[in-house]
Amino acid sequence: MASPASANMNAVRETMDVLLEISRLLNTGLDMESLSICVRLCEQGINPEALSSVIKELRRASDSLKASENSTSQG
Amino acid sequence: MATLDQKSPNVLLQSLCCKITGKSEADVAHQFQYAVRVIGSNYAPTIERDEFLVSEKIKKELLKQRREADAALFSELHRKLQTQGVLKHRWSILYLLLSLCEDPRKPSGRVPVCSYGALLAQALPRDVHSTPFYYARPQSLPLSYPERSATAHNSSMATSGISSMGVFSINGPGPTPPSLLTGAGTQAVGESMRGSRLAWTLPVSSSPSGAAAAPRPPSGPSSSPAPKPLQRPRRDGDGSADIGEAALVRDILYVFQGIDGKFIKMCSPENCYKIDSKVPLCKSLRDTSSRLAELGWLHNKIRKYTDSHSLDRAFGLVGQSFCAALHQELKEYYRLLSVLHAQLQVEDDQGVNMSVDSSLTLRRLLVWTYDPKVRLKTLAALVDYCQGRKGGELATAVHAYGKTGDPNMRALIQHILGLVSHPILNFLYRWIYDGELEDTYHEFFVASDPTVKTDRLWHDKYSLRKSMIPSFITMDQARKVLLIGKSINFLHQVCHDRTPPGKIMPASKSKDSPKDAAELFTDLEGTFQSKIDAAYFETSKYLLDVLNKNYQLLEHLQAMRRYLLLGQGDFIRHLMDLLKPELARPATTLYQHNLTGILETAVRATNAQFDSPEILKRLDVRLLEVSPGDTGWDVFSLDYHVEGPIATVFTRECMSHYLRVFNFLWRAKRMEYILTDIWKGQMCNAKLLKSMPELSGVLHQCHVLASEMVHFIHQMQYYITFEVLECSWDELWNKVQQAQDLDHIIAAHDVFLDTIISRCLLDVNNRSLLNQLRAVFDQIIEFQNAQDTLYRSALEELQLRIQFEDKKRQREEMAEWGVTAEQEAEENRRVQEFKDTIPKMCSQLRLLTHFYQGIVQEFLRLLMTCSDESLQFLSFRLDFNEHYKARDPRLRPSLGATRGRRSSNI
Repeated sequence: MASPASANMNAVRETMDVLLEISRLLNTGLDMESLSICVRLCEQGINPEALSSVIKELRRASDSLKASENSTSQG
Repeated sequence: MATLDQKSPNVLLQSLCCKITGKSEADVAHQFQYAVRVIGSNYAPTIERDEFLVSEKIKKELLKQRREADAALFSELHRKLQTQGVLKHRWSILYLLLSLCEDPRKPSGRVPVCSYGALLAQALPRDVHSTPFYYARPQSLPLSYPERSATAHNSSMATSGISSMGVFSINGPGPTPPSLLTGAGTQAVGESMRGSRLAWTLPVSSSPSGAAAAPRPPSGPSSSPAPKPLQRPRRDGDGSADIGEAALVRDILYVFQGIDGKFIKMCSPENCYKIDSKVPLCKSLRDTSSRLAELGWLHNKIRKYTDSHSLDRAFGLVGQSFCAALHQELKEYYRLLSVLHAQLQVEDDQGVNMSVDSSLTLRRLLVWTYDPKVRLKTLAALVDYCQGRKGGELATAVHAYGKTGDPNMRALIQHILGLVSHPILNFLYRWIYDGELEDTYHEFFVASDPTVKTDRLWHDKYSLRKSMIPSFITMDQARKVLLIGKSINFLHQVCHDRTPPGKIMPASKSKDSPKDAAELFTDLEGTFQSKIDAAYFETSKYLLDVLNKNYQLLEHLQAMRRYLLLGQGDFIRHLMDLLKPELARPATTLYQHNLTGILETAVRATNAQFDSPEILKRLDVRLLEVSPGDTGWDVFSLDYHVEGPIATVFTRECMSHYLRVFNFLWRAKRMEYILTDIWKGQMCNAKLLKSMPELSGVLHQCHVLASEMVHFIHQMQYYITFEVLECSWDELWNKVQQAQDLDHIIAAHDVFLDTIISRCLLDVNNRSLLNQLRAVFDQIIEFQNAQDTLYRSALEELQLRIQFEDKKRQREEMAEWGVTAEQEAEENRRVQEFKDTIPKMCSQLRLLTHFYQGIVQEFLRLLMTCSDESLQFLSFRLDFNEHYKARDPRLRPSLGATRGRRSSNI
């Protein structure tokens, strides 16, 4: 039980490393945890196009929120 | 996988929202609701569930950003993912990453979001109240079993309050701890939040089925199995057929650009594109792909040539023009590829539903790329042929390929030749109109040697590089081009003539500008030739005018003839008279300034004084090296100083030739002078010695020998003066008058000198003849000495006899005896002694005559063996009465042969 589990864990970690490399290569802006969550969602059959739209919207909202905070602090 | 299954999509989605926005779960409620709505929608038909297509898109994106290394790295990482096999939906993950990479898609991404919202708003009310949709949910989302149970609980909650409370308490332990940790702490708020989440979850799971069943509510259960069978066979069929050929088409389009495809790769050892034998592919597709891959191979060949030589500055301007022409052709080729890529992109965007009739196939590609392949094949062959060539040699290679019957190929080569010959034409025009040579990479056919001084500019500085003469320029044209530029440089640097080139050839230059390079070279027999000829004639004529008017070239040529070649007879004669006392002394006692003074005296006393001062100041005396026993006659020489432009015609070598000829002519002239003295002596002394009859025999011998020598020398002088000098000079003068360029004058002058040297017996072939002639000259000098001795003795004797007679007459007048017996005996003895010396004189003269005639006979025999006709005629004139032939039997048959030869000539 231990050896198959460890082998599986190593394979998963290696796969995540490869995906992280590809993510960095494509300048997606995702960190390790975000990428991990996205991979799990895709593996469960989520539509990747919809997911990318959600992520973009979340980023836009986050940027606008930060911008408003900056203006408030300046004011 | 176990870890992945532990959490539901909603939980993961909420975590993602918190992570990206950097806020707590309570704060991201709005974003979470939006995310749930978008994720729940399934209206994106543009997604192509093909991992290969997505990876190809990613590579294309990277290539678009000019990141080939990253594309290669991505291919490697993708291959690693495939080998690991941990993920089930690689295409989905790759598609997500690709979408996040594309920034331009952000604005377009909003539209689907709005559509999703509107659609959800419409679907929501019906979803809440319709119970039969329960059957559709598991069909649309078969994998989400927990979702179904959650929905069931939700529906039961809607009907009964007590039952719903119980369900909530059962679910409580799961989500409650994080809620309490992050919540505000109010129980009521917590309850309302949980209720909101559950309310949004219900429409998410229901809305797809609602939309699907809305058009046909009664037949919901019956319609659900129908779409699945329809989708599966279509997808499978399209996937197998289109993936095979479509994948190959994509590979081929990459191969066309020289990039390895997924299946078709460059095999380096064999230098050809190959499909891996393991790839399952029918033979016809494999063959078609190989034939199409040839286009990529041809492209690589041409691209490799242009890439390697574009950065090579030493390749030259002609080579750079060739690369530019090749690049133009490749650009047309790339335009075709971009059209094909655009069509392929359209197919990808429209998906499988696109009509099969207008899609790209291998066979269609074969037809469309036939013409480009022919062109690339021609260019590749041309590149092969032009390897290692540059400059005019490269133009020759391109020109050779234009000799073909194929109109398309000929037009292509003509276009390239026009571009390639443009730098050559620029070199040519700068050279023939400005005389400037800016050939940094040695690709023009005129070469320049910067180390050459101005005095050798015309002869050594410029030359033709025969390998760099393009084949469409003839050798004669190349020589004219060389002469044109060389003349301009000669005018500037040696003649110091600063006339602008525009004034020399105003007409030719103005006609030049409208002509195009390609048009000009294709019209080689007309415009180009006339342009070269016009520049040649005008430049050469101008140069000759400058030389004749500003530097008196022709006058100096005539001065050479008059002074160094003894053409000015009175001057030479007078000079000899004045120099005679000086030159009779040993050579070691001579001083040049004395001789120079005598030269000036001779000039002023003869017609030479009327010559131009420019010429007279160059006339000088030179003393050659002294050998033991030499007299002044042997080392004396006239000299002529040349510098400036005329030194190009009268080079140092030419002047040494002139001095050699002068030395020869001077010796011959001296022989004539000596014989004149001999004759004068004979004429004066003949009357005086009449009273001595015993001398008549000796004097007769002297006269006979002198006549022989006079005849010989006169014939030699005639031969030298008229047949050699006058004939050669006449030819030279005619050629100089007709000369079109300076090279003609130089060549004619060189021929003139060579002819003179050859016929004056001064070249290597006639060395024995020259030695024999010198022996004749020596005999003449011996004869002069002998005759002088004879006359001195005879006159002395005559003087004594006259004195004796006078003394006797005086005694008789004084009435004494005339002579005593003793005196008379003494006188008789003295007279007898003198008479005894006469036979000795006779024998000496006889010996001298014998030697002289022997030498002359040998000279005649040598003349027989000469191939020069004028020398054979000379031998005939020397022995016109066959006097020597009678004495020497060896001359008789040769003379007969000569006579026979002469008859045949006549």
